[in-house]
Amino acid sequence: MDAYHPLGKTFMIQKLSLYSFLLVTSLVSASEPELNLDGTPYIPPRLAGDSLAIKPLKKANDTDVNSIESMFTNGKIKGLIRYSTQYRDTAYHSLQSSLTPTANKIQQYSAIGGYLGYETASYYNISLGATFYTAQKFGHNPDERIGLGGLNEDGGRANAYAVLGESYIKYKTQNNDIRVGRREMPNYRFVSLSNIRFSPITHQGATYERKVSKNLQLNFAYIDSQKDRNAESFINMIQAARVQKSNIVGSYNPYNYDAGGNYIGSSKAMLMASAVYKKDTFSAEVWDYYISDFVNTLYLYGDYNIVLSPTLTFTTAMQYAKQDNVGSRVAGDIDSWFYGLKFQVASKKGITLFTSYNQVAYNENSYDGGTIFVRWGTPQMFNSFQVQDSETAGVKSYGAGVQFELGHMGIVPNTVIRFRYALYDMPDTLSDNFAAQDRTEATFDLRYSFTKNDGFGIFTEMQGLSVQFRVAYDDYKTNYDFQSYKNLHGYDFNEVTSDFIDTRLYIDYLF
Amino acid sequence: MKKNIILLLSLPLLLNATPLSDVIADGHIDGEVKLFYYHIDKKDAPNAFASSLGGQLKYTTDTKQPFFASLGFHTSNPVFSNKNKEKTYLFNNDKDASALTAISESFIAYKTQERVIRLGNVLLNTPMMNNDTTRIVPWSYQGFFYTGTTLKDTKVQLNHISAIRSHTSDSYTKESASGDIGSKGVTMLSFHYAHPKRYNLQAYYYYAPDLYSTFIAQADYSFDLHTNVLYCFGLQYFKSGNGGRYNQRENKNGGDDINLIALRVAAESDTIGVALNYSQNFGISGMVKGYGGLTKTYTTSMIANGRGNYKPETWMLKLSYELPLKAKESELALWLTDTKVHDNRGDSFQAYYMHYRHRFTKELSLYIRYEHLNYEKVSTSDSSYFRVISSYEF
Repeated sequence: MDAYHPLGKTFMIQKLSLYSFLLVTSLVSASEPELNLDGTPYIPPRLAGDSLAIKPLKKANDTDVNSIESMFTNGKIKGLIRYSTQYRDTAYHSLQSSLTPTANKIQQYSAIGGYLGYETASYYNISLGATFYTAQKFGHNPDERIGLGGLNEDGGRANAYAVLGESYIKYKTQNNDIRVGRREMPNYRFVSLSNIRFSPITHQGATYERKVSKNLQLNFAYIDSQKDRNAESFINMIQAARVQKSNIVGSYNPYNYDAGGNYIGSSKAMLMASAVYKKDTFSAEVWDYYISDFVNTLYLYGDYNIVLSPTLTFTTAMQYAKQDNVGSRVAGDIDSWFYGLKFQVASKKGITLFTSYNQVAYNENSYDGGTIFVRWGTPQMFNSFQVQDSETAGVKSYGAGVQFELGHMGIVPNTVIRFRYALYDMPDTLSDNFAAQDRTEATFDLRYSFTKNDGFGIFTEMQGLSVQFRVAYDDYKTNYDFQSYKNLHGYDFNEVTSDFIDTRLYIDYLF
Repeated sequence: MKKNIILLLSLPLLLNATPLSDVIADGHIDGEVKLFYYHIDKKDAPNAFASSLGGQLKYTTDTKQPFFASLGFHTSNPVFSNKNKEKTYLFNNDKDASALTAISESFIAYKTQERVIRLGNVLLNTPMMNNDTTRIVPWSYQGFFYTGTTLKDTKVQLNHISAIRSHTSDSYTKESASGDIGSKGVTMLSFHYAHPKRYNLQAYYYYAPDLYSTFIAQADYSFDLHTNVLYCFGLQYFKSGNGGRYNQRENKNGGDDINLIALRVAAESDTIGVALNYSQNFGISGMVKGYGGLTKTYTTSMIANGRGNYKPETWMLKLSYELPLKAKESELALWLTDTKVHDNRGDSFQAYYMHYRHRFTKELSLYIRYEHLNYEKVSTSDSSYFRVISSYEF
């Protein structure tokens, strides 16, 4: 089965042409504004990572206080009031003409809540922190439309939740940062927040960050558990990876799995070590995540900025990861990798253009054909867009996008918009055991701030009220010879995904 | 919750001038960290013990504004080893006694100089609906709450409660401590007159047509014959009736046949306190937890009390001694309880209770409590209860 995407390719070419035209036009007419309206320096958007900002704006008082009493009375709060809703309408393609066309599947949630946190001032460099997260049902939340993971979904119902997501002790000096407990870990790449529903992922364990020099930082962590976005409790790091027995290849111990195929074996923690080097226009990162008897993940990242002109910066970035089984292989054989390339041009006029490529290994002797485990945080693939994460076995993804900071450009105050498009070329020949439908995803994002005109992106944390609207259209290829595939592999399915629209709205008040 | 948030976001419009950012930024935070150890030792029944680390975090917007809002969380998390921890009522008993995190308060309020109206989830402190501070996570109540102080020295409350969250749950439901409150909920009207020096008069009426209704009257009088000794006399009366469709007359926590009178005589100096308390319930309904929390009668110890069902008559002697230490507070106490029931379905018992409460600073305290109960019926296990509670408030 050959890939066939006339609409997608044409669409992408048209978009790229339009963006190029806009960029060139803007550069020609540029009057070189290098500052935001509030006088802060203009900073081009970061390269990757779809995740709403969550870090506190009000940092805890770093100055040591001289008593326990003042430690508690001089702390800082962080709070978020959030309304969030998501709606996904999926259409299915029937494989049998005699069947009545399958009804669309609708998933949705609508919730209000946020978080409330407090971090004490430091006393002998020690401070304490705690944050509660909650989402309450607001509006229409039918139980038969769960599955998006906005509200808690225990028992197959849409439930409100409240959870103590952070409670930690921190020891921090100029070059050392030690934290023990549960907390947001936003900066550890594969371990991060994935804050794209209502509450972020938080992790529990111990971390140590060491600034070796102005340019080099080392990070170490022992992470024993993870609270998923809509969960009320923490689960071990194998469960957090969402291992499914049906995807296992090679030998394993079936007693580690329940009847539903979920891992119920002994708890396993993750050990993490990394080195991050940043200097002027260059950065390089090495990360390793080790979960005994399960998987080791090595991740390399680097980017390099070239200043083309006073208003134009070109950035190139690469990423590579390797995952291998370790120890007693509770998830069978794992032998996979992915890599990615990204190129970005950012104009200080407020326009950023990028294109990126990712490829994941296809290996039928690896778990799920080589699919990369990414569920400990925000998927790091450059082409991880709104719905598609580009982590599945054998996918080759081609992405492109453009961001317009309309406030900075003086067109629409306080507004940023972004268009993206990607093509996900999946392994889809008849002989592929882990075949999947090719698909495309087109996205549109809008962020409006009630407090800032510019100097922010789609996911930038901002004090005060802001609105974020996101929509994605995913189109799946359906003109395969599914019957032959079913006959060859012994599968039984009568419908496949045709397309869907995924819409999200966030109204945030951050204080 | 929904109404609260909508109104919270509408505050700037309602105020017409004060930006939301100012209303929120000028708020304040209250917090508490608590470590709780609880051991229940029963002679002929399974024991239980658990430790919990938790506390509360509460944020209230600027209360100088006529409109303000508050959001508070309480949490209780099992730590160290435990056994039958659901029997300690420290955790979420809806979910296998796992960690409990609940929104204990979330309300918006409107106030004038002499009136406050709150809408949402609140903590209450009334005789038969209260927060019960004997664990980490309190009870809380959802509804409409009015407090007025227009009459001199008098506080009037009118509350309508439509849902209740118990101290072992994170959900607001129709289930009170003594049964379903139904769609009509519980409406409470109260008057509290506090003479600046001597008198304290209180009257409460709880109207719960689907469950049972209760009238409460209390009078306290205090005076000092000697410079350092305060004498107190108190009288309480509880009477319930009007049982509704969810009423269970013999329920130990509450039913439509409560008929209790209680008396209190006490003398307190700076170092020593002596109180003799008496109560008799002439009805067969109990009132241990009332509609929620723990009912406030004079004959209340940590576990032992005179609030049970089947007509208990209780004497309780409370002795306390303030240790001469340079601390904010350092109290030793011994309480003795003798309860006889006047219905053979009940069980008489004797109990002794001791505590040591030490407040190191305004914020930090330690509270060690122990109580032993001897039941007269062989079928009921004699029991001991031991709690160690350390708390830091800020």
